[in-house]
Amino acid sequence: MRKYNRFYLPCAVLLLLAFFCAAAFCQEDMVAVDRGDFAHPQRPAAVFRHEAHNEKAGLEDCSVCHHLYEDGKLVPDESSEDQNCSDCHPLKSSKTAPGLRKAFHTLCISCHKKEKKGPLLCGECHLRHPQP
Amino acid sequence: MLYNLAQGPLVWVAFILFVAGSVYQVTRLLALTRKTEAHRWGRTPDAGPLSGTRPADGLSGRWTARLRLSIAGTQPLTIGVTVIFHTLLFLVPLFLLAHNILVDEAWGFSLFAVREKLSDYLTWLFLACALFFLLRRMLLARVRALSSFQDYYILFLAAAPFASGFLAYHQIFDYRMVITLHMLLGELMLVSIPFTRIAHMFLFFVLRFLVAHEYSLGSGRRVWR
Ligand code: HEC
Ligand code: HEC
Ligand code: HEC
Ligand code: HEC
Ligand code: HEM
Repeated sequence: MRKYNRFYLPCAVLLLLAFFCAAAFCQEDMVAVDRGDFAHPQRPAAVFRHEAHNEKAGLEDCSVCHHLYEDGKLVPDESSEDQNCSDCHPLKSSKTAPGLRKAFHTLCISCHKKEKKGPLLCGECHLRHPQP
Repeated sequence: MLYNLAQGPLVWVAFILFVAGSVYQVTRLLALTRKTEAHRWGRTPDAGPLSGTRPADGLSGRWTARLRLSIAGTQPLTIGVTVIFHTLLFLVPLFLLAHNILVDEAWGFSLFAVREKLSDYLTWLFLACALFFLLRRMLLARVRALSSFQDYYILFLAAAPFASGFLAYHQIFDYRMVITLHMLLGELMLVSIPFTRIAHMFLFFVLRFLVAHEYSLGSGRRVWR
Protein backbone atom coordinates (compact mmCIF):
# COMPACT_ATOMS: atom_id res chain seq x y z
CA MET A 1 0.00 0.00 0.00
CA ARG A 2 2.77 2.42 1.06
CA LYS A 3 4.79 1.60 -2.06
CA TYR A 4 1.92 2.39 -4.37
CA ASN A 5 1.26 5.71 -2.75
CA ARG A 6 4.88 6.75 -3.16
CA PHE A 7 4.52 6.25 -6.87
CA TYR A 8 0.98 7.31 -7.69
CA LEU A 9 0.64 10.36 -5.49
CA PRO A 10 3.40 12.41 -7.17
CA CYS A 11 2.05 11.26 -10.53
CA ALA A 12 -1.42 12.53 -9.71
CA VAL A 13 -0.04 15.85 -8.52
CA LEU A 14 1.98 16.23 -11.71
CA LEU A 15 -1.01 15.39 -13.83
CA LEU A 16 -3.16 17.99 -12.06
CA LEU A 17 -0.44 20.61 -12.48
CA ALA A 18 -0.26 19.81 -16.18
CA PHE A 19 -4.00 20.40 -16.50
CA PHE A 20 -3.81 23.77 -14.80
CA CYS A 21 -0.91 24.83 -17.01
CA ALA A 22 -2.72 23.81 -20.12
CA ALA A 23 -5.73 25.85 -19.07
CA ALA A 24 -3.56 28.82 -18.23
CA PHE A 25 -1.18 28.89 -21.18
CA CYS A 26 -2.90 27.31 -24.13
CA GLN A 27 -5.76 29.78 -24.53
CA GLU A 28 -8.77 28.46 -26.35
CA ASP A 29 -9.95 30.08 -29.58
CA MET A 30 -12.36 32.93 -29.03
CA VAL A 31 -15.96 31.66 -29.10
CA ALA A 32 -17.75 34.82 -27.90
CA VAL A 33 -16.94 38.50 -27.58
CA ASP A 34 -15.86 39.27 -24.03
CA ARG A 35 -18.43 41.49 -22.32
CA GLY A 36 -16.25 42.16 -19.30
CA ASP A 37 -15.76 45.77 -20.42
CA PHE A 38 -19.43 46.49 -19.74
CA ALA A 39 -20.05 47.54 -16.16
CA HIS A 40 -23.26 45.55 -15.73
CA PRO A 41 -23.76 43.24 -18.71
CA GLN A 42 -27.42 42.51 -19.42
CA ARG A 43 -27.20 40.00 -22.23
CA PRO A 44 -25.41 36.69 -22.69
CA ALA A 45 -22.08 37.24 -24.50
CA ALA A 46 -22.40 37.46 -28.29
CA VAL A 47 -21.32 34.30 -30.07
CA PHE A 48 -18.30 35.01 -32.26
CA ARG A 49 -15.84 32.30 -33.27
CA HIS A 50 -13.10 34.65 -34.44
CA GLU A 51 -11.17 32.29 -36.74
CA ALA A 52 -14.12 30.33 -38.10
CA HIS A 53 -16.20 33.48 -38.63
CA ASN A 54 -13.55 35.32 -40.60
CA GLU A 55 -12.72 32.27 -42.68
CA LYS A 56 -16.37 31.63 -43.53
CA ALA A 57 -17.01 35.30 -44.30
CA GLY A 58 -13.77 35.56 -46.30
CA LEU A 59 -12.32 38.37 -44.17
CA GLU A 60 -8.56 38.50 -44.53
CA ASP A 61 -8.03 42.19 -43.84
CA CYS A 62 -7.84 42.59 -40.07
CA SER A 63 -8.41 46.35 -40.27
CA VAL A 64 -12.02 45.88 -41.41
CA CYS A 65 -12.74 45.37 -37.72
CA HIS A 66 -9.53 46.35 -35.94
CA HIS A 67 -9.33 49.83 -37.41
CA LEU A 68 -6.75 52.31 -36.24
CA TYR A 69 -7.40 56.00 -35.66
CA GLU A 70 -4.84 58.64 -34.85
CA ASP A 71 -5.97 62.16 -33.95
CA GLY A 72 -9.45 61.24 -35.07
CA LYS A 73 -8.29 60.20 -38.52
CA LEU A 74 -8.48 56.68 -39.88
CA VAL A 75 -5.03 55.28 -40.64
CA PRO A 76 -5.59 53.16 -43.74
CA ASP A 77 -3.93 49.78 -44.04
CA GLU A 78 -2.96 49.82 -40.38
CA SER A 79 -4.70 47.64 -37.83
CA SER A 80 -5.16 47.68 -34.07
CA GLU A 81 -5.62 44.05 -33.04
CA ASP A 82 -3.22 44.64 -30.15
CA GLN A 83 -5.90 46.84 -28.58
CA ASN A 84 -9.39 46.17 -27.29
CA CYS A 85 -12.28 48.07 -28.81
CA SER A 86 -12.89 49.47 -25.33
CA ASP A 87 -9.47 51.19 -25.37
CA CYS A 88 -10.91 53.77 -27.76
CA HIS A 89 -14.67 53.26 -27.32
CA PRO A 90 -15.86 54.25 -23.85
CA LEU A 91 -19.21 53.03 -22.53
CA LYS A 92 -21.00 56.26 -23.46
CA SER A 93 -21.09 57.61 -27.01
CA SER A 94 -19.20 60.85 -27.51
CA LYS A 95 -18.58 63.26 -30.36
CA THR A 96 -15.27 61.56 -31.15
CA ALA A 97 -16.35 57.90 -31.17
CA PRO A 98 -19.48 55.78 -30.77
CA GLY A 99 -19.96 54.12 -27.40
CA LEU A 100 -18.83 50.53 -26.93
CA ARG A 101 -22.18 48.81 -27.40
CA LYS A 102 -22.99 50.88 -30.44
CA ALA A 103 -19.52 50.30 -31.90
CA PHE A 104 -19.97 46.53 -31.71
CA HIS A 105 -23.52 46.59 -33.02
CA THR A 106 -22.74 48.94 -35.90
CA LEU A 107 -19.69 46.97 -36.95
CA CYS A 108 -21.31 43.54 -36.87
CA ILE A 109 -24.84 44.37 -38.00
CA SER A 110 -24.06 46.84 -40.79
CA CYS A 111 -21.87 44.26 -42.52
CA HIS A 112 -24.45 41.49 -42.06
CA LYS A 113 -27.08 43.80 -43.56
CA LYS A 114 -24.85 44.72 -46.47
CA GLU A 115 -23.88 41.11 -47.16
CA LYS A 116 -27.46 39.84 -46.57
CA LYS A 117 -25.76 37.11 -44.53
CA GLY A 118 -25.17 36.65 -40.82
CA PRO A 119 -27.42 37.38 -37.82
CA LEU A 120 -29.38 40.63 -37.37
CA LEU A 121 -31.57 39.97 -34.33
CA CYS A 122 -30.68 40.16 -30.65
CA GLY A 123 -31.28 36.52 -29.89
CA GLU A 124 -29.24 35.29 -32.85
CA CYS A 125 -26.02 36.78 -31.45
CA HIS A 126 -26.77 36.84 -27.72
CA LEU A 127 -27.60 33.16 -27.46
CA ARG A 128 -28.87 32.00 -24.08
CA HIS A 129 -28.14 28.36 -24.83
CA PRO A 130 -25.10 28.46 -27.13
CA GLN A 131 -24.32 25.21 -28.94
CA PRO A 132 -20.85 23.92 -28.07
CA MET B 1 -39.27 35.16 -46.01
CA LEU B 2 -42.25 35.94 -43.82
CA TYR B 3 -39.68 37.43 -41.48
CA ASN B 4 -38.45 39.90 -44.12
CA LEU B 5 -42.01 40.89 -44.91
CA ALA B 6 -42.92 41.36 -41.25
CA GLN B 7 -39.80 43.34 -40.52
CA GLY B 8 -39.90 45.61 -43.58
CA PRO B 9 -42.96 46.54 -45.67
CA LEU B 10 -45.61 45.33 -43.20
CA VAL B 11 -44.36 47.76 -40.55
CA TRP B 12 -45.11 50.60 -42.96
CA VAL B 13 -48.46 49.16 -44.08
CA ALA B 14 -49.49 48.79 -40.44
CA PHE B 15 -48.31 52.26 -39.52
CA ILE B 16 -50.06 53.98 -42.45
CA LEU B 17 -53.34 52.11 -41.84
CA PHE B 18 -53.11 53.03 -38.17
CA VAL B 19 -52.65 56.75 -38.83
CA ALA B 20 -55.20 56.94 -41.66
CA GLY B 21 -57.79 54.91 -39.73
CA SER B 22 -57.32 57.01 -36.60
CA VAL B 23 -57.73 60.30 -38.47
CA TYR B 24 -60.86 58.91 -40.15
CA GLN B 25 -62.43 57.81 -36.86
CA VAL B 26 -61.76 61.09 -35.07
CA THR B 27 -63.09 63.13 -37.99
CA ARG B 28 -66.18 60.95 -38.11
CA LEU B 29 -66.87 61.43 -34.41
CA LEU B 30 -66.37 65.18 -34.72
CA ALA B 31 -68.77 65.27 -37.67
CA LEU B 32 -71.38 63.37 -35.67
CA THR B 33 -71.18 65.90 -32.85
CA ARG B 34 -70.94 69.05 -34.92
CA LYS B 35 -73.84 70.78 -33.17
CA THR B 36 -73.04 72.74 -30.01
CA GLU B 37 -75.26 73.80 -27.14
CA ALA B 38 -74.77 76.37 -24.43
CA HIS B 39 -76.19 74.04 -21.81
CA ARG B 40 -73.50 72.10 -19.95
CA TRP B 41 -74.57 68.77 -18.55
CA GLY B 42 -71.46 68.12 -16.52
CA ARG B 43 -72.09 71.11 -14.27
CA THR B 44 -75.74 70.62 -13.42
CA PRO B 45 -76.31 69.42 -9.88
CA ASP B 46 -79.14 67.07 -10.74
CA ALA B 47 -77.13 64.87 -13.11
CA GLY B 48 -73.93 62.89 -13.17
CA PRO B 49 -71.71 61.68 -10.40
CA LEU B 50 -72.19 64.82 -8.31
CA SER B 51 -75.94 64.41 -7.95
CA GLY B 52 -75.57 63.06 -4.42
CA THR B 53 -73.64 66.01 -3.00
CA ARG B 54 -74.79 69.27 -1.49
CA PRO B 55 -73.05 72.65 -1.86
CA ALA B 56 -72.40 72.51 1.88
CA ASP B 57 -69.91 69.66 1.34
CA GLY B 58 -67.33 72.19 0.11
CA LEU B 59 -64.86 71.81 -2.72
CA SER B 60 -62.79 68.93 -1.33
CA GLY B 61 -65.96 67.22 -0.16
CA ARG B 62 -67.29 67.42 -3.68
CA TRP B 63 -64.10 65.89 -5.04
CA THR B 64 -64.03 63.00 -2.59
CA ALA B 65 -67.69 62.46 -3.37
CA ARG B 66 -66.90 62.51 -7.05
CA LEU B 67 -64.22 59.85 -6.52
CA ARG B 68 -66.38 57.76 -4.20
CA LEU B 69 -69.31 57.77 -6.60
CA SER B 70 -67.20 57.11 -9.70
CA ILE B 71 -66.11 53.58 -10.64
CA ALA B 72 -62.87 54.23 -8.74
CA GLY B 73 -65.03 54.16 -5.64
CA THR B 74 -67.31 51.31 -6.55
CA GLN B 75 -64.73 49.04 -8.27
CA PRO B 76 -61.38 49.98 -6.72
CA LEU B 77 -59.60 46.72 -7.60
CA THR B 78 -60.55 46.79 -11.27
CA ILE B 79 -59.62 50.47 -11.53
CA GLY B 80 -56.25 49.81 -9.87
CA VAL B 81 -55.49 46.98 -12.26
CA THR B 82 -56.64 48.99 -15.26
CA VAL B 83 -54.37 51.91 -14.40
CA ILE B 84 -51.36 49.58 -14.15
CA PHE B 85 -52.40 47.76 -17.34
CA HIS B 86 -52.71 50.92 -19.45
CA THR B 87 -49.54 52.50 -18.11
CA LEU B 88 -47.48 49.41 -18.88
CA LEU B 89 -49.11 48.99 -22.29
CA PHE B 90 -47.46 52.25 -23.35
CA LEU B 91 -44.32 52.46 -21.25
CA VAL B 92 -42.89 48.95 -21.62
CA PRO B 93 -42.59 48.86 -25.44
CA LEU B 94 -41.61 52.53 -25.62
CA PHE B 95 -38.65 52.22 -23.27
CA LEU B 96 -37.64 48.67 -24.16
CA LEU B 97 -33.92 48.38 -24.93
CA ALA B 98 -34.39 46.03 -27.90
CA HIS B 99 -36.96 48.32 -29.55
CA ASN B 100 -34.74 51.33 -29.03
CA ILE B 101 -31.64 49.64 -30.44
CA LEU B 102 -33.63 48.65 -33.54
CA VAL B 103 -35.03 52.17 -33.97
CA ASP B 104 -31.55 53.60 -33.50
CA GLU B 105 -30.16 51.26 -36.17
CA ALA B 106 -32.93 52.20 -38.58
CA TRP B 107 -33.33 55.93 -38.00
CA GLY B 108 -30.28 56.97 -35.99
CA PHE B 109 -32.11 58.17 -32.90
CA SER B 110 -33.67 56.52 -29.89
CA LEU B 111 -35.38 57.16 -26.58
CA PHE B 112 -34.05 56.37 -23.17
CA ALA B 113 -34.28 52.65 -22.35
CA VAL B 114 -34.67 50.93 -18.99
CA ARG B 115 -32.71 47.85 -17.93
CA GLU B 116 -33.94 44.65 -19.49
CA LYS B 117 -34.52 42.94 -16.14
CA LEU B 118 -36.98 45.69 -15.24
CA SER B 119 -38.84 45.40 -18.57
CA ASP B 120 -38.98 41.69 -17.98
CA TYR B 121 -40.59 42.03 -14.52
CA LEU B 122 -43.01 44.65 -15.87
CA THR B 123 -43.96 42.23 -18.66
CA TRP B 124 -44.84 39.64 -16.02
CA LEU B 125 -46.93 42.27 -14.25
CA PHE B 126 -48.70 43.25 -17.47
CA LEU B 127 -49.54 39.64 -18.30
CA ALA B 128 -50.91 39.18 -14.79
CA CYS B 129 -53.19 42.20 -15.30
CA ALA B 130 -54.36 40.78 -18.65
CA LEU B 131 -55.14 37.47 -16.97
CA PHE B 132 -57.13 39.32 -14.33
CA PHE B 133 -59.30 40.92 -17.03
CA LEU B 134 -59.76 37.62 -18.84
CA LEU B 135 -60.87 35.81 -15.67
CA ARG B 136 -63.12 38.68 -14.67
CA ARG B 137 -64.81 38.61 -18.05
CA MET B 138 -65.25 34.85 -17.96
CA LEU B 139 -66.23 34.37 -14.32
CA LEU B 140 -68.42 37.32 -13.36
CA ALA B 141 -71.89 36.67 -14.72
CA ARG B 142 -72.77 40.35 -15.10
CA VAL B 143 -69.60 41.04 -17.10
CA ARG B 144 -69.97 37.88 -19.14
CA ALA B 145 -73.48 38.91 -20.11
CA LEU B 146 -72.14 42.09 -21.69
CA SER B 147 -69.17 40.48 -23.45
CA SER B 148 -68.93 39.89 -27.15
CA PHE B 149 -66.23 38.34 -29.30
CA GLN B 150 -64.57 41.72 -29.75
CA ASP B 151 -63.94 42.12 -26.04
CA TYR B 152 -61.86 38.95 -26.02
CA TYR B 153 -60.20 39.88 -29.29
CA ILE B 154 -58.94 43.27 -28.11
CA LEU B 155 -57.65 41.75 -24.88
CA PHE B 156 -55.80 39.20 -26.98
CA LEU B 157 -54.39 41.96 -29.22
CA ALA B 158 -53.00 43.81 -26.23
CA ALA B 159 -51.50 40.76 -24.53
CA ALA B 160 -50.11 38.90 -27.56
CA PRO B 161 -47.15 41.21 -28.31
CA PHE B 162 -46.19 41.03 -24.64
CA ALA B 163 -46.43 37.25 -24.46
CA SER B 164 -44.51 36.72 -27.69
CA GLY B 165 -41.91 39.38 -26.82
CA PHE B 166 -41.43 37.60 -23.53
CA LEU B 167 -40.87 34.24 -25.26
CA ALA B 168 -38.42 35.89 -27.68
CA TYR B 169 -36.46 37.57 -24.91
CA HIS B 170 -36.09 34.30 -23.04
CA GLN B 171 -35.48 32.43 -26.28
CA ILE B 172 -38.16 29.88 -25.52
CA PHE B 173 -39.26 27.87 -28.60
CA ASP B 174 -37.72 28.57 -32.01
CA TYR B 175 -36.38 32.13 -31.80
CA ARG B 176 -36.88 33.06 -35.47
CA MET B 177 -40.47 31.86 -35.46
CA VAL B 178 -41.33 33.59 -32.18
CA ILE B 179 -39.81 36.91 -33.18
CA THR B 180 -41.61 36.85 -36.55
CA LEU B 181 -44.85 36.14 -34.75
CA HIS B 182 -44.09 38.96 -32.32
CA MET B 183 -43.70 41.48 -35.12
CA LEU B 184 -46.84 40.28 -36.92
CA LEU B 185 -48.88 40.49 -33.72
CA GLY B 186 -47.54 43.98 -32.99
CA GLU B 187 -48.54 45.04 -36.49
CA LEU B 188 -51.95 43.40 -36.18
CA MET B 189 -52.54 45.35 -32.99
CA LEU B 190 -51.54 48.63 -34.64
CA VAL B 191 -53.89 48.05 -37.59
CA SER B 192 -56.74 46.98 -35.34
CA ILE B 193 -56.63 50.03 -33.06
CA PRO B 194 -58.79 52.38 -35.17
CA PHE B 195 -61.22 49.68 -36.28
CA THR B 196 -62.00 48.07 -32.93
CA ARG B 197 -62.97 49.41 -29.54
CA ILE B 198 -59.29 50.04 -28.85
CA ALA B 199 -60.12 53.27 -30.67
CA HIS B 200 -61.17 54.50 -27.22
CA MET B 201 -57.48 55.31 -26.98
CA PHE B 202 -58.18 58.63 -28.73
CA LEU B 203 -62.00 58.72 -28.96
CA PHE B 204 -61.95 58.85 -25.15
CA PHE B 205 -60.50 62.35 -25.27
CA VAL B 206 -62.99 63.59 -27.86
CA LEU B 207 -65.96 62.14 -25.99
CA ARG B 208 -64.99 63.12 -22.48
CA PHE B 209 -63.55 66.56 -23.15
CA LEU B 210 -65.45 67.89 -26.16
CA VAL B 211 -68.89 66.27 -26.05
CA ALA B 212 -71.38 67.36 -23.39
CA HIS B 213 -72.94 64.66 -21.22
CA GLU B 214 -73.24 63.79 -17.57
CA TYR B 215 -69.78 62.19 -17.50
CA SER B 216 -67.91 64.99 -19.32
CA LEU B 217 -64.59 65.88 -17.82
CA GLY B 218 -64.25 69.27 -19.47
CA SER B 219 -66.80 71.84 -20.39
CA GLY B 220 -67.42 70.42 -23.85
CA ARG B 221 -70.42 71.78 -25.69
CA ARG B 222 -70.71 69.39 -28.60
CA VAL B 223 -73.90 67.35 -28.74
CA TRP B 224 -74.96 64.45 -30.93
CA ARG B 225 -76.65 65.51 -34.12
C1 HEC C 1 -15.23 40.56 -38.18
C2 HEC C 1 -14.37 41.42 -37.46
C3 HEC C 1 -12.95 40.99 -37.14
C4 HEC C 1 -11.96 40.70 -38.04
C5 HEC C 1 -12.01 40.72 -39.56
C6 HEC C 1 -10.78 40.39 -37.24
N1 HEC C 1 -11.07 40.49 -35.90
FE1 HEC C 1 -9.80 40.17 -34.38
N2 HEC C 1 -11.30 40.55 -33.04
C7 HEC C 1 -12.55 40.98 -33.38
C8 HEC C 1 -13.28 41.30 -32.19
C9 HEC C 1 -14.72 41.83 -32.11
C10 HEC C 1 -12.42 41.04 -31.10
C11 HEC C 1 -12.70 41.26 -29.61
C12 HEC C 1 -12.22 42.64 -29.30
C13 HEC C 1 -12.47 43.11 -27.89
O1 HEC C 1 -12.94 42.32 -27.08
O2 HEC C 1 -12.20 44.28 -27.63
C14 HEC C 1 -11.17 40.57 -31.68
C15 HEC C 1 -10.05 40.22 -30.94
C16 HEC C 1 -8.82 39.93 -31.50
C17 HEC C 1 -7.63 39.64 -30.75
C18 HEC C 1 -7.57 39.55 -29.24
C19 HEC C 1 -7.68 38.07 -28.94
C20 HEC C 1 -8.39 37.66 -27.72
O3 HEC C 1 -8.56 36.44 -27.59
O4 HEC C 1 -8.81 38.51 -26.94
C21 HEC C 1 -6.61 39.43 -31.64
C22 HEC C 1 -5.15 39.07 -31.34
C23 HEC C 1 -7.17 39.58 -32.97
N3 HEC C 1 -8.51 39.88 -32.85
C24 HEC C 1 -6.46 39.47 -34.12
C25 HEC C 1 -7.00 39.59 -35.39
C26 HEC C 1 -6.21 39.47 -36.61
C27 HEC C 1 -4.70 39.21 -36.66
C28 HEC C 1 -7.08 39.63 -37.64
C29 HEC C 1 -6.78 39.57 -39.13
C30 HEC C 1 -6.26 38.33 -39.61
C31 HEC C 1 -8.40 39.86 -37.06
N4 HEC C 1 -8.30 39.84 -35.69
C32 HEC C 1 -9.56 40.08 -37.80
C33 HEC C 1 -13.09 41.11 -34.64
C34 HEC C 1 -12.39 40.86 -35.80
C1 HEC D 1 -7.27 53.14 -31.89
C2 HEC D 1 -8.56 53.42 -31.35
C3 HEC D 1 -9.73 52.55 -31.83
C4 HEC D 1 -9.85 51.18 -31.71
C5 HEC D 1 -8.87 50.20 -31.10
C6 HEC D 1 -11.14 50.86 -32.24
N1 HEC D 1 -11.78 52.00 -32.68
FE1 HEC D 1 -13.62 52.10 -33.56
N2 HEC D 1 -13.39 54.10 -33.83
C7 HEC D 1 -12.36 54.86 -33.32
C8 HEC D 1 -12.65 56.26 -33.56
C9 HEC D 1 -11.75 57.44 -33.15
C10 HEC D 1 -13.88 56.33 -34.26
C11 HEC D 1 -14.64 57.57 -34.72
C12 HEC D 1 -14.46 57.81 -36.16
C13 HEC D 1 -15.21 59.04 -36.63
O1 HEC D 1 -16.28 59.32 -36.10
O2 HEC D 1 -14.70 59.71 -37.51
C14 HEC D 1 -14.31 54.94 -34.42
C15 HEC D 1 -15.49 54.57 -35.08
C16 HEC D 1 -16.01 53.32 -35.02
C17 HEC D 1 -17.28 52.96 -35.65
C18 HEC D 1 -18.17 53.90 -36.43
C19 HEC D 1 -18.23 53.58 -37.89
C20 HEC D 1 -16.92 53.51 -38.58
O3 HEC D 1 -16.45 52.37 -38.81
O4 HEC D 1 -16.36 54.54 -38.92
C21 HEC D 1 -17.47 51.63 -35.36
C22 HEC D 1 -18.64 50.79 -35.79
C23 HEC D 1 -16.33 51.15 -34.59
N3 HEC D 1 -15.46 52.22 -34.41
C24 HEC D 1 -16.17 49.88 -34.09
C25 HEC D 1 -15.01 49.40 -33.48
C26 HEC D 1 -14.82 48.03 -33.00
C27 HEC D 1 -15.88 46.95 -33.04
C28 HEC D 1 -13.56 47.95 -32.51
C29 HEC D 1 -12.85 46.70 -31.94
C30 HEC D 1 -12.79 45.54 -32.82
C31 HEC D 1 -12.94 49.26 -32.66
N4 HEC D 1 -13.86 50.12 -33.23
C32 HEC D 1 -11.66 49.58 -32.26
C33 HEC D 1 -11.23 54.38 -32.68
C34 HEC D 1 -10.96 53.05 -32.42
C1 HEC E 1 -17.18 42.70 -42.91
C2 HEC E 1 -18.35 41.88 -42.72
C3 HEC E 1 -18.66 41.27 -41.36
C4 HEC E 1 -18.44 41.80 -40.11
C5 HEC E 1 -17.78 43.13 -39.76
C6 HEC E 1 -19.00 40.86 -39.16
N1 HEC E 1 -19.53 39.78 -39.83
FE1 HEC E 1 -20.48 38.18 -38.96
N2 HEC E 1 -20.76 37.38 -40.76
C7 HEC E 1 -20.40 37.94 -41.98
C8 HEC E 1 -20.82 37.07 -43.05
C9 HEC E 1 -20.60 37.33 -44.54
C10 HEC E 1 -21.44 35.95 -42.45
C11 HEC E 1 -22.09 34.75 -43.15
C12 HEC E 1 -21.11 33.65 -43.31
C13 HEC E 1 -21.74 32.50 -44.07
O1 HEC E 1 -22.66 31.90 -43.50
O2 HEC E 1 -21.35 32.29 -45.19
C14 HEC E 1 -21.41 36.18 -41.01
C15 HEC E 1 -21.92 35.29 -40.07
C16 HEC E 1 -21.94 35.51 -38.71
C17 HEC E 1 -22.45 34.59 -37.73
C18 HEC E 1 -23.07 33.24 -38.02
C19 HEC E 1 -21.92 32.27 -38.09
C20 HEC E 1 -22.31 30.94 -38.61
O3 HEC E 1 -21.53 30.00 -38.37
O4 HEC E 1 -23.32 30.81 -39.27
C21 HEC E 1 -22.28 35.17 -36.51
C22 HEC E 1 -22.70 34.59 -35.14
C23 HEC E 1 -21.63 36.43 -36.72
N3 HEC E 1 -21.45 36.62 -38.06
C24 HEC E 1 -21.29 37.30 -35.69
C25 HEC E 1 -20.60 38.49 -35.91
C26 HEC E 1 -20.23 39.39 -34.84
C27 HEC E 1 -20.52 39.19 -33.36
C28 HEC E 1 -19.59 40.43 -35.44
C29 HEC E 1 -19.02 41.69 -34.78
C30 HEC E 1 -18.02 41.49 -33.75
C31 HEC E 1 -19.56 40.18 -36.86
N4 HEC E 1 -20.20 39.00 -37.11
C32 HEC E 1 -18.98 41.05 -37.80
C33 HEC E 1 -19.76 39.13 -42.17
C34 HEC E 1 -19.36 40.00 -41.16
C1 HEC F 1 -24.45 40.64 -34.97
C2 HEC F 1 -24.48 40.30 -33.60
C3 HEC F 1 -25.32 41.12 -32.61
C4 HEC F 1 -26.66 41.43 -32.69
C5 HEC F 1 -27.64 41.08 -33.79
C6 HEC F 1 -26.99 42.13 -31.48
N1 HEC F 1 -25.87 42.26 -30.69
FE1 HEC F 1 -25.80 43.10 -28.85
N2 HEC F 1 -23.78 42.91 -28.83
C7 HEC F 1 -23.03 42.23 -29.79
C8 HEC F 1 -21.62 42.25 -29.39
C9 HEC F 1 -20.47 41.63 -30.16
C10 HEC F 1 -21.55 42.95 -28.17
C11 HEC F 1 -20.32 43.25 -27.30
C12 HEC F 1 -19.98 42.30 -26.17
C13 HEC F 1 -20.87 41.14 -25.87
O1 HEC F 1 -21.98 41.33 -25.36
O2 HEC F 1 -20.45 39.99 -26.13
C14 HEC F 1 -22.93 43.35 -27.85
C15 HEC F 1 -23.30 44.05 -26.71
C16 HEC F 1 -24.60 44.26 -26.30
C17 HEC F 1 -24.98 44.87 -25.05
C18 HEC F 1 -24.03 45.43 -24.01
C19 HEC F 1 -23.46 44.31 -23.16
C20 HEC F 1 -24.46 43.76 -22.17
O3 HEC F 1 -24.60 42.52 -22.13
O4 HEC F 1 -25.11 44.54 -21.45
C21 HEC F 1 -26.36 44.86 -24.99
C22 HEC F 1 -27.24 45.36 -23.86
C23 HEC F 1 -26.82 44.29 -26.23
N3 HEC F 1 -25.73 43.94 -27.00
C24 HEC F 1 -28.15 44.12 -26.56
C25 HEC F 1 -28.59 43.75 -27.82
C26 HEC F 1 -29.99 43.82 -28.25
C27 HEC F 1 -31.16 44.23 -27.36
C28 HEC F 1 -30.01 43.43 -29.53
C29 HEC F 1 -31.23 43.38 -30.45
C30 HEC F 1 -31.85 44.63 -30.75
C31 HEC F 1 -28.65 43.08 -29.92
N4 HEC F 1 -27.82 43.30 -28.85
C32 HEC F 1 -28.27 42.59 -31.17
C33 HEC F 1 -23.51 41.63 -30.93
C34 HEC F 1 -24.83 41.67 -31.36
C1 HEM G 1 -47.11 47.67 -29.85
C2 HEM G 1 -46.79 46.46 -29.93
C3 HEM G 1 -45.60 45.84 -29.22
C4 HEM G 1 -45.47 45.54 -27.89
C5 HEM G 1 -46.48 45.79 -26.78
C6 HEM G 1 -44.18 44.90 -27.73
C7 HEM G 1 -43.70 44.43 -26.52
C8 HEM G 1 -42.49 43.75 -26.38
C9 HEM G 1 -42.04 43.19 -25.14
C10 HEM G 1 -42.83 43.27 -23.84
C11 HEM G 1 -40.80 42.62 -25.38
C12 HEM G 1 -39.82 41.95 -24.42
C13 HEM G 1 -40.34 41.33 -23.19
C14 HEM G 1 -39.31 40.97 -22.18
O1 HEM G 1 -38.23 41.55 -22.14
O2 HEM G 1 -39.66 40.08 -21.38
C15 HEM G 1 -40.48 42.84 -26.78
C16 HEM G 1 -39.33 42.43 -27.40
C17 HEM G 1 -39.02 42.68 -28.72
N1 HEM G 1 -39.82 43.32 -29.67
FE1 HEM G 1 -41.65 44.09 -29.32
N2 HEM G 1 -43.54 44.85 -28.95
C18 HEM G 1 -44.37 45.42 -29.89
C19 HEM G 1 -44.13 45.57 -31.25
C20 HEM G 1 -42.93 45.20 -31.89
C21 HEM G 1 -42.66 45.38 -33.31
C22 HEM G 1 -43.68 45.98 -34.30
C23 HEM G 1 -41.38 44.91 -33.53
C24 HEM G 1 -40.54 44.87 -34.79
C25 HEM G 1 -40.90 45.20 -35.99
C26 HEM G 1 -40.85 44.43 -32.26
C27 HEM G 1 -39.59 43.88 -32.06
C28 HEM G 1 -39.13 43.35 -30.87
C29 HEM G 1 -37.83 42.73 -30.69
C30 HEM G 1 -36.75 42.56 -31.76
C31 HEM G 1 -37.76 42.31 -29.33
C32 HEM G 1 -36.59 41.66 -28.63
C33 HEM G 1 -36.62 40.21 -28.60
C34 HEM G 1 -35.33 39.71 -27.98
O3 HEM G 1 -35.02 40.12 -26.87
O4 HEM G 1 -34.65 38.93 -28.63
N3 HEM G 1 -41.81 44.63 -31.27
N4 HEM G 1 -41.54 43.53 -27.36
